Amino acid sequence: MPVALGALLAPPAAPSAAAQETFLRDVTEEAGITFEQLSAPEKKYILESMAGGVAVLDYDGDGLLDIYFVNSLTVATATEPESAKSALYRNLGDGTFVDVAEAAGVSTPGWGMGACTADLDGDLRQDLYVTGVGGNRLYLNNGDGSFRDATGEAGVGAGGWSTGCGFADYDQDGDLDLFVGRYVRVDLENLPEFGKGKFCRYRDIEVQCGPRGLPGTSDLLYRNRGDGTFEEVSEKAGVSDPTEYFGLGVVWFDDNGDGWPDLFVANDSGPNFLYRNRRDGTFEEIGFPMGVAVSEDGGEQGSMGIAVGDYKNEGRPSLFVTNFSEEPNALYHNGGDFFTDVSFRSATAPSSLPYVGWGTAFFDYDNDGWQDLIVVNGHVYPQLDNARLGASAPYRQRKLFYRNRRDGTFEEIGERFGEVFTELRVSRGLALGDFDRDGRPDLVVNDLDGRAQLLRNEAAGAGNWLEVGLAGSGRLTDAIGAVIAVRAAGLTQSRLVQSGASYLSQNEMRQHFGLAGAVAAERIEIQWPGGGVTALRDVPANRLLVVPEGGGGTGRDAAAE
Amino acid sequence: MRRGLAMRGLPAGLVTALLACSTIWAAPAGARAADATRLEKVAAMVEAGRLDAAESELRQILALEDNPIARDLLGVVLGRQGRHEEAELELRRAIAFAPDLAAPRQHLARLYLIQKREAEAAAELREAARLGPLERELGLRLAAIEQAAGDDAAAQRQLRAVAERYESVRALLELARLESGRGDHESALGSLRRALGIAPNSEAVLRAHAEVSLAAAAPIAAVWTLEPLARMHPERVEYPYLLGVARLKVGDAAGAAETLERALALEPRRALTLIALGLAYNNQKRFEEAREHLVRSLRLDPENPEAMAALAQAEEGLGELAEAERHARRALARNPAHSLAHLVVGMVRMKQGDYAAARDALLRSVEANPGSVKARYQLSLAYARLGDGESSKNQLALYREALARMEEALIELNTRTGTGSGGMRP
Repeated sequence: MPVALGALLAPPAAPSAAAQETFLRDVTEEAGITFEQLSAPEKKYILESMAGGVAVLDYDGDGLLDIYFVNSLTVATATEPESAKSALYRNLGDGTFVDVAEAAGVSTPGWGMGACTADLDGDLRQDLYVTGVGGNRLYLNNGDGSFRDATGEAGVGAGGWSTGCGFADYDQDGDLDLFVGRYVRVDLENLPEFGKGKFCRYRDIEVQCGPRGLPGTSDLLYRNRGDGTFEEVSEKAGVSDPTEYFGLGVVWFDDNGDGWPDLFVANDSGPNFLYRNRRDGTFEEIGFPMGVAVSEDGGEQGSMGIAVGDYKNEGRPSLFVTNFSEEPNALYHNGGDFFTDVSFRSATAPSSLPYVGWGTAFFDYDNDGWQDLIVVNGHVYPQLDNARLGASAPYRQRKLFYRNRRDGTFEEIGERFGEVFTELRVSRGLALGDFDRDGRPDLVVNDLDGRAQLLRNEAAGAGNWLEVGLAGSGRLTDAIGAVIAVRAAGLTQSRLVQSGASYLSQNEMRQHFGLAGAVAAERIEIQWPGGGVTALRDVPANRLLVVPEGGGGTGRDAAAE
Repeated sequence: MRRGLAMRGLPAGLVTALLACSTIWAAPAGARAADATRLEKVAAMVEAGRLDAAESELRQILALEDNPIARDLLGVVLGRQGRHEEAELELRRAIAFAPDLAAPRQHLARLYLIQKREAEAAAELREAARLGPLERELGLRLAAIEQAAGDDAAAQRQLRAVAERYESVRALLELARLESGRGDHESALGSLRRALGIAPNSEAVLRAHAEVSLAAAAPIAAVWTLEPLARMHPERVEYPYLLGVARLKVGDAAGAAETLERALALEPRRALTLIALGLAYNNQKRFEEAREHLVRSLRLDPENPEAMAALAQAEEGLGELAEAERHARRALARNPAHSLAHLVVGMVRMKQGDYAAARDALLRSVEANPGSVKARYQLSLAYARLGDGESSKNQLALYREALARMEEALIELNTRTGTGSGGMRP
């Protein structure tokens, strides 16, 4: 039903952040989530500091978002893979979850690191890819609540130490390909000795060694042959990283708006990569000339997690990269022809300096139509608390939350929202998803030390909203790579459907839009990964809209969800 | 007046040394050898301060036969008695009798110095030095005379001779000062390393080593010597200040800030410390804190171009582009080749999207400081945005070289000082 235009164009006044007292509430315990990573207390080896990711997916197709927490081993338990159980929490729809990982066959992927999801075989069920040390796992969804390990037959086991991952149809041949970042070359039988060596001291104390001083390793691109198997084409495609930097976060996104997926890799202690898709099956690495390889002063940073977002509502995806302490997190604004490091101009940098940043996401927490930003933190050295800290925060660190001021700048206001943001934790993976389907994105966090967190968004006075799910055609049922643009309240917001994001994690693939005071979206335009476009007009707010490729949307009222 | 000369004559030990010196006993042809035993006794008398008895004995020897050694000793004794004219006469007779004997010339020079007859002293010292090694104090004195006369080469020769013969820390310090003064920092550091070998805990040597190291763009060596100095003298502001500057030069902004804060606590109104601290905070991207300190420094020293350029950098970091440019221009008015000020102008132009102007400013910045990582990187970006891919690549290569050098230095610093940045970027 068309809605009066005047009503749509009436944006509300900017909400006063000071008036917000409620935002995220830790509902982990009441949700029945008890997951906790197996963790070596002293983190004597770098292997024990980097896990793990978390994936938000609807594995059973019931419309409710489930959660997969990746668990990791330790050097002491390396030979007992059963000792680290990853967890698949099924959403029961009543605010509680139950761990079904054992039954689903995804509880012991080995020494896990991260995860990404996609419907790989076009059967409308989300499959799961888990990265780790010593080999990755591809779990294909059987459709009956279980998965089968198809790693061997697909040929995507990788090996070595894999970290970030993401699926995209980079060659536009109608099926999803896979990129895997890799970190350090490790030999469990010959690990560098704790505290011994010039890269094993930090501020006068002995710490784990690495990544510097340890050999890096190449990254991997797997091209989908379309028959359930993959071909490793990294070198041929020009994305193998012959320099062997320490790869962590990975995102596919279309940096120049040409409809072809480009690739960004966050390298720890090295320049980041931006691979521009040449549309012929190969890529050109353009991180430096595009201005996203290093910081504004040319410093190579300890890059970990990545968020992609059109935070200025200008139709171009910018990049936010989390970094090590005493290095600012980096916000690279996409100006069309190149990126500009606006970390300080956007005011996201100063507050980040004491922290080691990991998982991160752009999302509109209060539905005002502007994407805000969250970062979860935690150091890598537990020994740090016995050292002179300098400008660094201690081992356990708080979260950062940046409210979008709508002028290209942000304000860090996490502490206003109480314990969720002031509690000191050692966080790693972070993923977004609206678990209760109330139109306010919730968050899930995988901590290295201590219990994971499910954080329910209870932002008071939030505006209207729309969630858009895409049903792609052919084998691209997730429509990964699609860009959704929503015009409402005088703004045009854009979102990208992504596999793999944040730090070794997977966000919900449905896209959330805050519509502020608008009761409907004037226009929704979807650019599908194959190049097709779907446009919708006057879509009422506060609903989940599912749009099939080549057809109109079918909406469901939020109240009916 | 140096200590030995202040004793109204010659140090007593020198008399024995003079007698023991084979070059002196090997008197020139025509001079008959005196009775060595008798002269040794006289020397003992002089050492014991029995000057009248020594004079009497020497006159008896000279009554028997003229002898340049005895006459030289008599000159020394008379000098000690304050009978300068008689002393001069005897020393001149000794020289006339044996012109190639160095000792009487040194004694005469010393006598002239006591009498403030500098030119005559210099002439005698030069001649004595030509004949043989000078006593330590006189050697140092001659070096000072040569330096005052503008003959640095002669001064250095003399200092080297003294250092060689007496392992003199003072000679090495002076030598290092001269070498450093003429830009030969490597030789200066070599001299100071020798001095450190002789006196490893000498504050003067450690300080000189640190200062020369800083001047020689060898900040790691400066850190190495300043750390013990700062520990040994926690009340002295210059050591944490210099240590902070040295750390800053290596690229260790965090360590620099920590040290400079200590210096500032010792002397809160010292402009140099405030400027260095501002630069350290800038490098840590703590721009608000940097600005606060730099504004304070400019209140104390309003015309300081370093402070202006650093303030401009802080303002540029804070996004206050107009103010940043204003302060950078003020710095450039005082020092047109100020690398940091040009860098700030370049950054402002980059942010304004004027890439051609940015390129020009950044080129001036790297001309003044070819090792600037940031300027090289931004220059590569400016070229890329101007569509000049080749120049962009060239600058990127230079940026990588500069970055590698800085990182090597930081790793070396961390290794040598036992600190570290773990496995992350230093």
